Amino acid sequence: MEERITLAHGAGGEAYRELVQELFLPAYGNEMLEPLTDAAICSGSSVIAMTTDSFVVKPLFFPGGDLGRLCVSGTVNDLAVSGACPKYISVGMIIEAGFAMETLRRLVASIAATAREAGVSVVTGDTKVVEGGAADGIFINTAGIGVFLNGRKPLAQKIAPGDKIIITGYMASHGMAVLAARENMDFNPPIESDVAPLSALIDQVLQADSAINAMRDPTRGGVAATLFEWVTPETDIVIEEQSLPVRPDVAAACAILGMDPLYIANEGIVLLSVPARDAESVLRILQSVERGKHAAIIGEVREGGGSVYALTEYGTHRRIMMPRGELLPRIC
Amino acid sequence: MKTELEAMKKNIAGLAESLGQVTIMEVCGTHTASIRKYAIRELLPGNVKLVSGPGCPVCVTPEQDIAAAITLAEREEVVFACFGDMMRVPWGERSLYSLYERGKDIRIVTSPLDALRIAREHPGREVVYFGIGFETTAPLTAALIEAADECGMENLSVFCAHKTIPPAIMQLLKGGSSIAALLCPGHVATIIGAQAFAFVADELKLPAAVAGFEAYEIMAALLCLLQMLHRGERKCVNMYPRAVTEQGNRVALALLDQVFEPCDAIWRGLGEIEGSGLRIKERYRKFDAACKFKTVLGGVVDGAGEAPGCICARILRGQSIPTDCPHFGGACQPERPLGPCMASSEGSCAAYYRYGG
Amino acid sequence: MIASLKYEFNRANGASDKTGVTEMCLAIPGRIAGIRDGYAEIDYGGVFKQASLRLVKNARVGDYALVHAGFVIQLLDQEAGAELEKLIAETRG
Ligand code: SF4
Repeated sequence: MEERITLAHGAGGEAYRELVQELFLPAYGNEMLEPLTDAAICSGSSVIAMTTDSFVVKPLFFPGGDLGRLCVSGTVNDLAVSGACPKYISVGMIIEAGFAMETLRRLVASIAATAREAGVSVVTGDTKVVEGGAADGIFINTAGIGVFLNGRKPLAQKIAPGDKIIITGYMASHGMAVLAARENMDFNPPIESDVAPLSALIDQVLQADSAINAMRDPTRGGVAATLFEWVTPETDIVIEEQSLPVRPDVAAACAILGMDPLYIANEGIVLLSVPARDAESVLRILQSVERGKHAAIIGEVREGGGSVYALTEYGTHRRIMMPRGELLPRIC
Repeated sequence: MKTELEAMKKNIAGLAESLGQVTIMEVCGTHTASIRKYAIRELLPGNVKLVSGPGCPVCVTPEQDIAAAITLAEREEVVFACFGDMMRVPWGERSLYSLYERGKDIRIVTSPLDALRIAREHPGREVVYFGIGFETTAPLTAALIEAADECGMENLSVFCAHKTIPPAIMQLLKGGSSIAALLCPGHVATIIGAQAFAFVADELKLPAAVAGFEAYEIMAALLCLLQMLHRGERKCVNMYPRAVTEQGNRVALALLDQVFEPCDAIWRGLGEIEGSGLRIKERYRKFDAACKFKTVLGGVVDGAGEAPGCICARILRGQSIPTDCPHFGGACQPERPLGPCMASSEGSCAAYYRYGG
Repeated sequence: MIASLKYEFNRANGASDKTGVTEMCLAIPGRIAGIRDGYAEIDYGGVFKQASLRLVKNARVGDYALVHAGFVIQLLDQEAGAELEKLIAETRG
């Protein structure tokens, strides 16, 4: 195969066939993809969950992950937090001519490995090549389908007063890892992203039949954005600042750059809103799994008027505001 | 820590009872942010009010300088390097951020030394570093200029808008005001020393306390100020001794003196203040972007419009609080600010917005 | 008070793994773990980053330093915790 992607790789001819046969099929191989028909035929349930997301990240490879791992995890996690069991994903790529084949190979290998880890099959895909300069290297879109097994139902995604808010692990690690890599921050050791498919972790909680009122992966806008999506005109959410888990290196990086971890993107954790009586048992289940080891109860839902508050370590209250705009590192 | 804080809170409340309305001004953007972040107002009795003075370097940078920075950043040959804080400050329809979104080569740096690296990596381009900030940050810019000089860098210059705090405090408070005491900026004092604020007590006859940035440090300084008010004392007390000495950082001060000389400077909201700016000395003139791009900057006019109704100027003088502004939280929000107090994350409006009004 | 100060210090350094929201003064403290060619390797509770020593004299490994935008701007006086406590005691009258 050639060293670099050319426009021919997107033209549907021999070069394209070669790409599919030699790169995609061996990596993703499964009986739904292999016939290479126009549409994959898959089995499911009467109600399904479906989602799609497009991924761009600079740099493509960062400590703890890469675009490949990210584009599978993001879609898998969106399905899993709906209460579904993620089963199938599609991978659509828009690649710039001149993109190194070796880099593509690494991304594809990462997609395949992450899909395996998440228990999903890549059942269909598409590749387009655009002229050099028309895309920033590579963009990937994934869509996913999840099924509801064993009589499980989609989550209501409605919080209720009395709920405890649970976080499944350290926050802000992914966003800070990518930022530090992109801006050449030279932290030593480098800050690692925790990007991961969380279907197995979430499945553990769902299996226990705990009452879960809402579940979401706090990606863009961070934990704060999710809390704002949840809070209703009749409730307040109060989080205890001291119980927010932040990895020490991430906390230091946030301090140096003047950024609040509450607003930093995550790709490896989930937030849950759980009725108080089930909160402890959910927490224990989470903590018994490696990826949920640092799970914590970070706050609760109260009756109120649609605000999100942080209880500071000094016992004072601060209103948390809706995240807005891209975060820029600041210095003064 | 909570119990110590409780004790201080009680003490402050006790002292405040014997005093009428007390307004304390802080002149440091980081104090503004800390006070809101820790919700310190909740720990203070109703008659003790905190207001923010001209302590955010982004907010006090006048329109002319923003206009000049944007004009330089728009140039084809220029790579513009600045701190993230400055990016969203609007000048008419434009901001550095809007140029950045349109693909102009603007680099957000986290240290002035990054500019040196960028200049080395792009020998064919002109790297311009936007030097803003008070005495805490100015020595860093001086170090950049010194380093650029030592390695004979030809394609690096500094657009210098550095300012010094004491002349601004003097100007603001000398005619008398409603301010009863001053919380002095800890990191500025780290460089210039606690004694540099002695004039607040000696000449302005106000109690002054140099404060750190943790909740207990701010509370301790406030307690100290109220104690002085109660006793009728007018002193300048160093309540941030772990970082601040009487004389300050002599190495940094010597470097400041080596590279810069005082000049008159315009502050947004305060106008021109004698001796409150820092200008690059003759010896290092070739690193002064204002000289290097003289012909380009000659035509830059001010008046492209402070947003009508923006009361940043009053806020910077401590005469209004952000919620007095009709645009606050409506037309003016952090991602599309109308004025510098919202654009800078350390500005009063942004701090109010982020941490609730 | 001194113990608490130390706690604050560790907290600011992210030494506790339960560190909360950290947007604080942007000059932040760290420990000098190594010195080479005018630069210090600063330890912020397990994560290291370089800072220039151009603005201080006599920095030594083990010192606590206040770092602002890539420069050490002051060496911190660890005894000063007691001093602040004294100051607070004085103000209490
Ligand atoms: S809210 Fe906006 S318009 Fe109003 S004073 Fe602040 S910055 Fe200016």
